Amino acid sequence: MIPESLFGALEILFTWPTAGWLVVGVLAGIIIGTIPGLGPNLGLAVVLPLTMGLDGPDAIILLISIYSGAMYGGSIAAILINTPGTAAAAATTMDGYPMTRQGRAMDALSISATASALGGTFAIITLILLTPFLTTIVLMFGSPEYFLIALFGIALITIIAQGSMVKGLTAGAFGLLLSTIGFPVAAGQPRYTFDTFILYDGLDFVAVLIGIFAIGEMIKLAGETGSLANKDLSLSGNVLSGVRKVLASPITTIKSGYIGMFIGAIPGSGASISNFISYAEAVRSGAGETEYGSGNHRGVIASEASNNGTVAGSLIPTFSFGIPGSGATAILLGGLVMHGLRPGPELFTDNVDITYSIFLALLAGNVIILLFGLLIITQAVYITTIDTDYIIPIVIAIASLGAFGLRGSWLDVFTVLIFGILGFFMMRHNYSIIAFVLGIVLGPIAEENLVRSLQLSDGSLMIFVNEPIPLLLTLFTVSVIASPVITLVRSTIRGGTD
Amino acid sequence: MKRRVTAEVLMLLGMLGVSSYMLIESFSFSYEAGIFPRFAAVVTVCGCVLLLVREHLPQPIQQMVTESAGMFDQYDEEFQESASERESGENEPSYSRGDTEIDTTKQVILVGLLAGYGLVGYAIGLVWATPVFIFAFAKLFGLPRLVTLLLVAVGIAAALTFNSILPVNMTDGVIV
Repeated sequence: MIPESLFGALEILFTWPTAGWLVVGVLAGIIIGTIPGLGPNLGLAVVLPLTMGLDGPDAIILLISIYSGAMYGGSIAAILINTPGTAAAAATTMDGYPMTRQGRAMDALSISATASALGGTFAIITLILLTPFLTTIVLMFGSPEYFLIALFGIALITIIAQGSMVKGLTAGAFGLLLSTIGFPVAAGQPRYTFDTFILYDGLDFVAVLIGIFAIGEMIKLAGETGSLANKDLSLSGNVLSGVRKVLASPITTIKSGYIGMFIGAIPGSGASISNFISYAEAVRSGAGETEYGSGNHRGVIASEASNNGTVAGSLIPTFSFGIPGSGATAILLGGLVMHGLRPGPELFTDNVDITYSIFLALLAGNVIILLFGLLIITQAVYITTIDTDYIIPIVIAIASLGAFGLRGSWLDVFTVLIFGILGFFMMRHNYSIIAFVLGIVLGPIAEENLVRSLQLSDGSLMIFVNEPIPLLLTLFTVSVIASPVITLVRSTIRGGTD
Repeated sequence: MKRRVTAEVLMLLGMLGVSSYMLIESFSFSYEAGIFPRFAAVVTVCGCVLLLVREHLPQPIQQMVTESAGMFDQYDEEFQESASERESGENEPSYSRGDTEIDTTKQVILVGLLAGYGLVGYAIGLVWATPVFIFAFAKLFGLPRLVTLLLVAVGIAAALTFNSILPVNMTDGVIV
């Protein structure tokens, strides 16, 4: 059954103009992902109406290719100018940008392309083989499980936040707090809106991300002179050495791809979460090995392999139940419906050829990402030799224009500017930016599912421990929170006795 | 050094002010709407207060507030070391620009330009404010005339591209 469908899918994919839309989609996605403030959601939303004139398979393949390309494209700006083109590449900045500062941008870009392609490939092959089993697992997830997954992500602050845990928790809690501005779905009452309509939708976390990462970094660079890379250093590294580094880290690559896929399969938990979790896992498993956050190539591999793995995972609930795993897959879902393709069992029976052609398009898209990334994008390394004073005004302009483009709201422009200044001071005084971002991204997901869970259980917290999956997730979360606290208390006691 | 501490204190006081307001305001919400912001606000307020008074805390508590509690102590120490080196630019880390000193005047000018860009954009529209911002930046940062022209052209192109691609109007402000 599967081989026959795959042959049918190959026939759909490799005919003209479908193959052309695949290439156009991946390349457009890379460009969209590279530009801070655009990202897959905005790119897909803009392109969706333009697909009206296309056949169903062509339209969906174009959209999914843009999504996949944008996931990779987000890493380019993250590596070169510390500005994640998308939230999915936020963790890439942690090690990618320090590599650029060390004159290793070509290495980092090559690693990003290879890890994205390989992580995505492993995930999509697994998706093809295991779709029926994963679908069953996803069906087991309800509000308590969603809340616990979000809580687990928030608990990761204690791992990801470097330096003072109090600083990390304060930054994370402040992010959580700011995420409560607006009209929450679950609680049904506007909060902190000052009776102004503009605040009803709350702060757009993408605008916050653009501000924190782009504007904050630009303010920092304004105080320096010269280029992004150390002018005393030659631009070391090459395309092949980056590829070799990824191939020499098969466990990190495969594990990160699968983490991305698993997280992506959980509705609401997209690549903006998976890249952090994957990065944290790389830090955890590599403890004592090398410096993460200072240009460790495995940090780039973990983040990039996971976000492209997430694309495959996010298709599971979208195609199986019509439940989008992320904003981008919500738009993709709109595309499916617009072109008469109903999500659900039909996609795996009557239209199985089309479904597999979409999966294969992702596979082929990864090959395009690899080739384009290695042969063309790595040459963008020379951007890092340009005087930062030439880059700063353009990055600020693009970030502000992109922010306004999110919703056409001035709130987003001022969000970008204000959080840029806050981000600069947080960076300067070693407050964890990542903890803050985790708080603001996961806050709404955690709150909505917490309220729903408590409504389901009549206020009883037992709903989080009385089934195997919630119990397991609760134990994971408790262990993540407890272990650094225990470490801290032990070191304090040890310090006292010394 | 004193100036840096003051900047951090100002930031913490700002966060404390915002979180205190949000905490007080949360009591005017229903239980469902108020519980989550209340929890987040309490943690933020406690964290800000602890960090503001950390110098005056007893030694063991001060140690718990300021020291890393990460699972990877070695990594934390290395990260902090490299992060502070990156920030200060004083210790010549292998990947920072060796001859660079942080020019805070330029940073203050940029913050002023950002505020101006936002306000002018709000008044006349981002498409028109963008070249004005880039031109002002180039003048204040002393960029060569040719580079200024090139950057302004790139800025205009970017603004017009965004305006034509995105379904929002970037040419109008509240005045023009």
